[in-house]
Amino acid sequence: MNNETKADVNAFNELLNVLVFLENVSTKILGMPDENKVFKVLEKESSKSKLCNISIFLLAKSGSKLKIAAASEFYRKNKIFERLFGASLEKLRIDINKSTLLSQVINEEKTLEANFADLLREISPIPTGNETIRIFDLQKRRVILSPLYRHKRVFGILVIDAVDPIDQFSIVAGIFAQQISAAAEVTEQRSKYKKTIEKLKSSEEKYRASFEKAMDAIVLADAVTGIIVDCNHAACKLVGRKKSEIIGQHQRILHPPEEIEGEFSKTFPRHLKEDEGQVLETKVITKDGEVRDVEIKANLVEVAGKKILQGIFRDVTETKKIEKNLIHERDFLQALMDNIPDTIYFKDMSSRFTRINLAQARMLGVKSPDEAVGKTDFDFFTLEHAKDAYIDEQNIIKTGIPMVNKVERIRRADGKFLWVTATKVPIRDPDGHIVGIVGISRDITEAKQMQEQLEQYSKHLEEIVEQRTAELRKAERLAAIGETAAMVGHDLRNPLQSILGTLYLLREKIDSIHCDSRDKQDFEKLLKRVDEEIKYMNKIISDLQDFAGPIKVNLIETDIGDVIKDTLASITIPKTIDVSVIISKSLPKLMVDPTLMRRVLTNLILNAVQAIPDTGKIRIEAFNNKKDAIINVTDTGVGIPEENLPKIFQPLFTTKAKGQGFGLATCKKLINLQNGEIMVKSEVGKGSTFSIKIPLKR
Amino acid sequence: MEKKKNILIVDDDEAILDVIKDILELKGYNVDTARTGREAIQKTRAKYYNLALLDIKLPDMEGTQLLSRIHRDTPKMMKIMITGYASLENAVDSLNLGADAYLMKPVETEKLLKTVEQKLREQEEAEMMSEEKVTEWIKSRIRKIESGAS
Repeated sequence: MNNETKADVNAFNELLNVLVFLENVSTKILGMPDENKVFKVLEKESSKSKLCNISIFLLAKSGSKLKIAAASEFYRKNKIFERLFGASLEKLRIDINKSTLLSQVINEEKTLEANFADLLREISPIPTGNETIRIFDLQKRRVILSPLYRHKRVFGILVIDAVDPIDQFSIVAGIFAQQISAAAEVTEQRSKYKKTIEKLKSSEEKYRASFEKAMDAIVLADAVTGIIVDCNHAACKLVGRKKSEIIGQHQRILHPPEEIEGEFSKTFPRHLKEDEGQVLETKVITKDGEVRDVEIKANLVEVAGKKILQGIFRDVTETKKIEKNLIHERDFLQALMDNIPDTIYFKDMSSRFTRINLAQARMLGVKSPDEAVGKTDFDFFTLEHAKDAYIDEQNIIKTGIPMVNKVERIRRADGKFLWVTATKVPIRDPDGHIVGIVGISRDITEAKQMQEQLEQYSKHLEEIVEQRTAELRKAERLAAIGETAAMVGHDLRNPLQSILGTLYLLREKIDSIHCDSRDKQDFEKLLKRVDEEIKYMNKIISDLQDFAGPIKVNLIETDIGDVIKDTLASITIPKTIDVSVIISKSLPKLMVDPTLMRRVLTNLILNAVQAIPDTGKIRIEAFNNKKDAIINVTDTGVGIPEENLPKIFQPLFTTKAKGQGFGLATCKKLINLQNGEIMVKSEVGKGSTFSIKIPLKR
Repeated sequence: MEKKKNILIVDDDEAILDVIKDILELKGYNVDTARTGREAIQKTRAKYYNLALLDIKLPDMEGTQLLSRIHRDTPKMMKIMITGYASLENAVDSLNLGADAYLMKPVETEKLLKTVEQKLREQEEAEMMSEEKVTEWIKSRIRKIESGAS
C-alpha cells in the first residue's frame, strides 16, 4: 500500500466513523419526545466521540441573538464558553449581527465551513491570544455551521468543530443538521400531539362528566346492531334500570311494544336517516312496566370507525300531562267563552282586540272572532261610543282600577240599539305590569225594557192607587154623609108623619065646620100643596137612603114598556108639557129590577119636567141594538152647561135650587147595580138626553 | 052600641103619638100611648089591647124586640109595625116575629086607618071562629055525654 493509498484508506475510515457516529446519533434522536432530550443526547454522544464537538445555538425569542442550548462535554468541563465570553453558559447570548458567519447561516440559510479561530474572533469579546483558550488547539480546527429548521424556518445553528476534518465533513454535517431538524420537527409534532391528546383527554373527561351529569338521558347505541354501548345516569333513572342492565342490551328494551316496529323502536331507523338531529316523540317503558312519554333527539356519530347513534331522551310525561291539562283548560275556557251569551273581549294597550268570543263577534258583525283581531271599537261602533269606551279603557290601563257594571247604550252591527252592562278589568303580566284589558258585557236590553215597563206600571199603579184613594176618600165621605142622611131621613119622617096626620085632622075639622064652599075649596087647595111638598120631602129622604144604604137587587125578566107606563101614571106632569113614548116592538124583556128601574125613570122624568120652564116636550124611547137595550129620556129644557156634564152623576152636585144632589147619583148607582150604564148628552138652551144602557140577557 | 076597641100606640115621637091618638079617637077607638118599649110592655100587661102600632125604633129597645116580647105575652093582639127605614129585611123580620102588618113612615092617614080597621076585623073574625069552634066542641061533648059514652 502506498502512502496515498494509505491516506485514502484513513480518510475513508474516518468518513465511515463519522457516518456511523452520525447515523448512531440520528437514530437515537429521531422520535425523541423532547427537544431538550435531543440536545442532551447530542451533547452526550459528541462527548463520547473524539472526532468532533457538537454545539447547538438556538435563536432567542428576539431573533437577533443566539443562546447555547447544547455544548459538548469538553466545552462544559473546560468551561470554554465561560472563558471565551466571560459569562455563564445559561446567560450567554451571542449577537448575530456582529458575526458575518452566523448571520449568513441564519439569514441566508447556508451551511458554512470556516476556521474556528475566525468564528471566535467574530463572536468572542476576548482576544484569541488569551491564555485561557490556549488549551484549545486552534491550529487546523475547523468549524461547520449548519442551519436547523423547524416548520421550514431556521431556529438555530448546528455547530460542529473538529481538527482537520475530512473534506466531506461539511456535507455530512449538513445532512446531520437535517437529521436534527427532523428530530426537532418530530419532537414539536409530538408535543403538539401530546397537547392534543391531553386536550382530548380533558375534553373526554369533561364530556364524560357532562354526559353523566346531564339532566337528559343519553343513550349510545350501535347504529347497525342497535346494541347499547353506553348510557348515563339519567338514562338509568328514566327506565329504572342499572347501567349493567342497559349497556350491551338491544335498544328496543327501552320502549313499550306499541313503539316497536320490527327489530328496532319506531324512531331508531328514522333518526338514522331522514330525521337525524330531529326531535321525535315516542314512549319508553321502565323495568317496572311504567310507560313514559319522551322526546328523543338523536345524532349519528362515528367512534373508532363505528357508527353510533347518540340519543338524548327528555321525559315529557309531566309536560304532556300539563299540556293536556292546559289544552283541556283552554278548550274549557273556549267553550265557556263561546257559549256564554255575554260578550267577552281582550284588548291590548292600544285598545285593539286581541281575542274575542263568538258573542262579541256577533255583536261586532264579523264572521269569526279572528276577523276582529287588531281592530278597535272605532271600526265597529259610533264615534261617540268608541271614544267613550276608549277613554274608559285607557283610564283602566293608566290607573289599574277596574270598571264594574257600567250601563252603556250601544248600537250593534245590525243597527239594533242595546243596553249593556260593561265590566272591564286590567290584565297584568307575571311581573304585575298592565298589558291590556279584558272586558265582559251583558245584554240587559230586555231587563231594561222590563224595568222601564215596570216603572211605567208602577207609575200607572201609583195613579190608580191615587185615584182609588181619592175614590175611597170620597166613598168614605159619602158613606159618612149617607149615614148621616139616613139618620136625618128617619128623623125627618117622624115630623112628616105628624104633619100628614095633622093635615088629616085639619081636613076633618074643615069638613065639620060651616063655611062657604068656596072657602072650603081654597082650604083644600092649600092643603093639597102641603101634601105635595110632603111627598117631595119624602122622595128626597128615599133618594138619600137609596144612595147611602145597601140595596138588594132582584133582577127579573121585565117588560120595560110596562115599567115606563107605570112610572108615568104615578107622576103628575103639567099639561103644558107634551109627553111621547116610543117603544120598539122588537125590544125583548130585560133582566132588571122593576122597582129600581121605576125609581130611576121617576127621577129622570121628574128632572125633565123640572128642566122645562114653561112649555116643552119630553120624549121617552126604548129600543135595542145587538148588544144592549137603550132607554132615552129626552127633554127640550134648559140643558146642562158642558162644564157641568162630567159632574152631573156625582153626589151632592146640583144646579137646581130645589135639588139636593142625590137624584142622578142614585140613578147611576141603581143602573150600575143592574149591570147597566147611564149617560147624558146636553146642549144649553136645547135640552138634554139621558140614556140608560142595559145589556140584553145573555 | 059596640064595645070600643083598645089601641096602643108606641112611638118615641110625642107629636106622632098626639096626632095619631087624635085621629084614632076621632074614629071611635080607645087609645093609649107608650114612649118606650118598657112602658109598652107594662101597659099591655095591665090592659088588653086589640091592636098596637109599633115604631120600629125606640129609645130603650129595638121595635122588633118589643114586638117579639108582646107577641109572646099577647099573641091575639094585632101588631102593626111602622118604620122610617124602608127595607125588605125589616119587613120580613117583623112579619116573622108576629107582626100583622108593616107600614112605612110617613104613612097616609087613610091607609093607616084602613089597615087598622082591616086588622081589627080580621081579629073579630078569628075570635068568632074560635067561639064557634068552642060552641061546636061543647055541643059535641054534650051529645057524647047524652049518648052515655064516657
